Amino acid sequence: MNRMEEYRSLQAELERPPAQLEGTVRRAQARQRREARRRRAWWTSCGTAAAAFALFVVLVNVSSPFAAACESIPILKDLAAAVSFSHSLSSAVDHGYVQSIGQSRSIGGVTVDLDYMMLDGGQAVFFGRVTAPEGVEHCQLVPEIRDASGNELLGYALMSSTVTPGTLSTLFTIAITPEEFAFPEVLDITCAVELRWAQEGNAPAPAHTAHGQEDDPHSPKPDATVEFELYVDDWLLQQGRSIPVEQWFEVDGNRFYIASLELYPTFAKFELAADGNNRETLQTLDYYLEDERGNRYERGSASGLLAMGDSYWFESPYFQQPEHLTLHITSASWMEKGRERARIDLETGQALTPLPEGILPTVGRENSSIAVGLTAPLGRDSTENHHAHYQLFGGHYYAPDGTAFEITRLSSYSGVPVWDEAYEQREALYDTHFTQTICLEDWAWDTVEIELYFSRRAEYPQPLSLRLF
Amino acid sequence: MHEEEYVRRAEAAKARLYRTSLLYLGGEAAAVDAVDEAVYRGLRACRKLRQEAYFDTWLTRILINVCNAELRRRKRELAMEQLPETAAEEFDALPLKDAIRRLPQQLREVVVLRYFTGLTLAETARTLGVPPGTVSTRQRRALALLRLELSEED
Repeated sequence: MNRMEEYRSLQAELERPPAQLEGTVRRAQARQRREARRRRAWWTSCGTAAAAFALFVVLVNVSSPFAAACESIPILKDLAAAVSFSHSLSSAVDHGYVQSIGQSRSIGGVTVDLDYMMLDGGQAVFFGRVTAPEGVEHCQLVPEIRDASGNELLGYALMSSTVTPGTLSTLFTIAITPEEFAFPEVLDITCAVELRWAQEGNAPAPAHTAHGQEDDPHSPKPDATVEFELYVDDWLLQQGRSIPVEQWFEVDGNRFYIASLELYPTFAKFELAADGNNRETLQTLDYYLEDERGNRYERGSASGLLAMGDSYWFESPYFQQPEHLTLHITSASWMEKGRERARIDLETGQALTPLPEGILPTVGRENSSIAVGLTAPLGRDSTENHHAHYQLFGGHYYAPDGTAFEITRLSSYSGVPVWDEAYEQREALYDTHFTQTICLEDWAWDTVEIELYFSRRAEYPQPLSLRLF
Repeated sequence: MHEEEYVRRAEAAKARLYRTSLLYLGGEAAAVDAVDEAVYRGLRACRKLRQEAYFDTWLTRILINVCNAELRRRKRELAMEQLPETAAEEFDALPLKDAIRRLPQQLREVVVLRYFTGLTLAETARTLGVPPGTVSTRQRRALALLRLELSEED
């Protein structure tokens, strides 16, 4: 064969591409999605979280009858859509229990519109929208509150989750402990906005930090910071009523007492007092309440907060005014004495002491940061669009020499971490599990001891029922 | 360039890219891996491509970078395969496919892009970032070493 014949033969050979080439573009798209997840997961793991134990709960649920009822109230129509996932907030909107704020602040291409507030004696829920430059996929608001003189306030938790630019959303919630928290007459709210870009590399350097943020090298600087000033109406803070219960009951051999229920326009709660002789500590409780008409009031609240201290939150029957309410307990998690901590090997990512059943350890590194996480099955009431996370970590972690560190940042996200070396083996868990991580900075040891939130979870297929009134 | 358009054009270009990478790297699996990598890198960067007319040369450039990186990696592991231009007898003794792979890099790039990837002289010059005259010269030297008498139409 001469060179020209060879040339034509080679041309013919090259015209027969292998079958594997078929999936090239599909593989590139899948890899890009995995990378995006990894970046988000890492960012979420080691970025600035809004508050300790913030829960990022994804809810999509359209209440059609309610939305239809709001057709004639144009100003509240979009808010009705924004709160349709929450029975309490939907009822509050339905009854006109909304304060219009109508404040807007812009800086460096980012606009925060603070449109509405729902405020009562137990929490304040803020609604609005963030407008961001093209290419921004999500915005994370990190709010801070002070009084008009700049003094810090005590006895509250702030919760926020990512919002989609341009969409009216719940921006953040202030949950308060009424005994400790006093609403100032004027509330100063500072919102740091962190932008998350759809494409890596599109993000310009943050150029607009209006207020001198502390130079914390471990915290990403916000892309914009805006301030709002709100006058708080005393009348709203007085809304709510208490209903006496005064009953003892027993779960898994442990005894509890409920003194009363507190019903507010935007949420409701009851306090559980534990018998000092209980062999286990109750950590979480899954439950719902039911009135005499069969209406269910689910646990939790619009902000994702399930409980504060010994108070357990549920969707409010405030506007329904039921004659009777029955508590149905469906599952609980318990902490057994002596099993509060678990040691994790940061080199291998393995747990050196037992973890609760079904919980997997995970470890990832990037530069001087180590993300230590726990992966667990999604809560049983999860759906495709509603991923129920629950708390896995306790409040501290410890160095091998016994030094205790407080967990001040905790991230929770659906899926398993793509940055974990075990990802390939765990990929099948991506849609059924969630992961919570803490971030260790400049950690000098090769193990860490983490505090666990529970040692076992118990399901009650036949709910334990207690008529409260 | 929007991602949807990129996906459409990458689908159309992948066979051509494969021809290029196969001649660069030799093995079928390595060639597919290189195309995968180039298409992925292109997907990540496609929004930065302002002039869609340059899609083919832009993506080919990405692929060549991927192939060169792989060749550099191999060079660290294996003895260098390239032959000097003075080794005319060795080139004659090799099958055409191997002879192309053992051309000096600058000559190999030109012959692969011109006669196997199907780029015009101007596109080859743009892809390689050299003047068209330089492409012409390298093309002539490469064809002489390979004992190929190819016209513009071949």
